[in-house]
Amino acid sequence: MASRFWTWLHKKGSPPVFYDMADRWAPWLGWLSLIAIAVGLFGGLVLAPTDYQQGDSYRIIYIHVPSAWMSMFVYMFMASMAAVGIVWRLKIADAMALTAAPIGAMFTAVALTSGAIWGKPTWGTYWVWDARLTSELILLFLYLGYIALYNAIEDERTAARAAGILALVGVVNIPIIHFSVEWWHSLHQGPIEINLTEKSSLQPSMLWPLLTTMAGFQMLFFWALLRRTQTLVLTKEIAAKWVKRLMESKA
Amino acid sequence: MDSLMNWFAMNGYGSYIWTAYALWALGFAWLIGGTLLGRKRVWAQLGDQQRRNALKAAQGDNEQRNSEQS
Repeated sequence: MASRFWTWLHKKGSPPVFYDMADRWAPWLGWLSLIAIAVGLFGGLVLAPTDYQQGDSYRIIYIHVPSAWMSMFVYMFMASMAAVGIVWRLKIADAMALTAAPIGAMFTAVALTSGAIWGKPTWGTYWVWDARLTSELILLFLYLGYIALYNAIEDERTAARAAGILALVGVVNIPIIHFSVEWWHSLHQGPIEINLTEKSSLQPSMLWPLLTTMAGFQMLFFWALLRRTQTLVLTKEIAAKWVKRLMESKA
Repeated sequence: MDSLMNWFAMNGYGSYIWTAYALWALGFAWLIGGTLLGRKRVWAQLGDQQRRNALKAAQGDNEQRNSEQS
């Protein structure tokens, strides 16, 4: 059973199989993500009512919350891929971890800047050294550290291993970010309770655009991940026979 | 027109909201643009390599033919 799983894993992780699979999924993910983001933002910026406490400033949540959620999701994805790369030496997993890092850094930067801009009219300041904000900033440094470490080491295998260990150590920061608003007296508001069966902490007319935008961000991440990993794989395997066959079929 | 301007002003929060959205748009433009440009570049590189290989193969054929004739 176990040996069949490894065979399956290595087969699925082989560059030509991955390339074909990515080619099938990426167009769907790309177009669906753009539609979801457009619909979600239209709902959030035009259709959703004004908040009775925060006025219209709350509309920043339609990019802030999905970006913050993605910053943590992408980190967990990156660390999982790094772990797979370290344990099972799957090259495609290392490539995916490396590809995910700049995307995650971008989501974190958007979460931090949009949060700071929202903070000014709401808290009266762009930045406070609050537990949630500080741990999110540390997440950005972890992403940048991962990228820098990977690029600083010449030998690819060693680079993937060293950066992967850093990614795994950094996982400890994720529950800190998530629970910081509960563990410490934070200026940042508590989590939005999303409940599809019972009452959520957000009005349905405000909630559906948020969920749609979140789905759109998620699909856009996977689109970018698949396309960027394809590019990375092609660059590394430029002399391989399957790349030559691929070129001939596209010509 | 007035209702559009009112919506754009976002009851006084327009400058905050649109600055945040502009920065977000910049981030996403980098993500989407970078992904597509990277892909285009690597395909161009592969095309160059294929042309070089074809040229090399043709040169090899010519040299072989010349040596056979002489």
